[in-house]
Amino acid sequence: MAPAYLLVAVAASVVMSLAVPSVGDKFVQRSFYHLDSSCSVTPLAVYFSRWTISNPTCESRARTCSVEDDEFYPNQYSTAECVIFDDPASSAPTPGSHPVDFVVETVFNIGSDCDNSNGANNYYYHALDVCMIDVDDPTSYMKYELTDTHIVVKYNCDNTCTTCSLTPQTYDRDSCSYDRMWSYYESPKTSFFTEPTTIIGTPSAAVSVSQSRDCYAAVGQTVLGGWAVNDGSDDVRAHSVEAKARQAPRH
Amino acid sequence: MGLDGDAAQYCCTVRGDLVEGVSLTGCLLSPSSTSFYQDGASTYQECYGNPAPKPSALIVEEELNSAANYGAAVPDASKPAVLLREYAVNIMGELEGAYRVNINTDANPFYLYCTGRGVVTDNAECRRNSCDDTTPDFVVYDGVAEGEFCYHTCFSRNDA
Repeated sequence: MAPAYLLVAVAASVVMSLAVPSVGDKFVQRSFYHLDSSCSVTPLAVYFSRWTISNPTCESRARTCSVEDDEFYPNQYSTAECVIFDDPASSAPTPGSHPVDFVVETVFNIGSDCDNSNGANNYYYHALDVCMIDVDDPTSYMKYELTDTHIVVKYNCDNTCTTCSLTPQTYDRDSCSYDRMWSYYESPKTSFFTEPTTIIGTPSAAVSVSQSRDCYAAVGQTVLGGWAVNDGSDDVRAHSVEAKARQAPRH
Repeated sequence: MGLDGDAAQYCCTVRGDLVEGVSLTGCLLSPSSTSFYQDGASTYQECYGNPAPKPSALIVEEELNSAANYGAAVPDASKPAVLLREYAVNIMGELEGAYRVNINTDANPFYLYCTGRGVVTDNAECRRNSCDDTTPDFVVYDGVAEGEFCYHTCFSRNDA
């Protein structure tokens, strides 16, 4: 027989766990929308949809690159993956390491005032500064832009988004607009080292070198992995003949 | 790239051994004719500078953590017109460039990311380097025929 104080503690923890509203609710699908049929080019949109863990299963939501047949993203190709994300209603899941910044449209499922009391939000990431087909009107184009204080959405534009027949919608950044919040997500940028460099002095002592391959070099379309080398010595700094005119950046 | 301070940053793609002031690289331990950095007993050369984001880069976001040891695989998918080492991948924490090879059908692709390209030998293995090291695990598009390009050291996602 368990001590009485232990039974009380267990009962209290059961009550407390029942009080948590979103047990079992998880975001389990992240979909990427592309214009190319191989889904290789940077996605124009990333969408998180919420399902419970058990129905459907997370794995069943994964999808290889295929033409999108739903009404929201016509003429686009999409992939989807299983991503288990506890929704704390305090931070959005991330769209992955794509070299593009996004406008984040967080949609709250309970009516107005961005009520997140059930912790059940959907997240749409729209590529910033990209003129794209308007999914609601595939005959026209649209574009998401950013100012210091607002998100600007241009609709009914030509295919360069320079001429738009509708007045742009503006939303305060990081403020609630009825049932959704508009914010900005700056993607972490993966850097590629691209300028061939000749090292002067043999051998040149490096200030520090990574223990594992932790950088990318790009030679035309070819990508190589490498070790990041920090060279802080002025007399042995690596540089190329061409680089004398355009010195490698110092950080 | 994780290095701080007031120093210039470079990415060096070849690592060798420092022996009596000489950098020895590759499986043949060939003396290097170019300059290099040294760090302890290791050397670093074929370096690149000027880091910047590359909007057209093909970056595989998820870490690849499953080695593909399938023997000699001949894809069902059609052979791409050009196969370049153009994908930036993370293989068990190490950043690499890789060839992407689809070993399933075009309609239902299954991608392997292979960091090496070699040539099929007369005993149907893939020669990986100039030391004649071979591996039985590789992918080849045009059948396992001597002299064909083969792609080796391949990885995929665990859950792919």
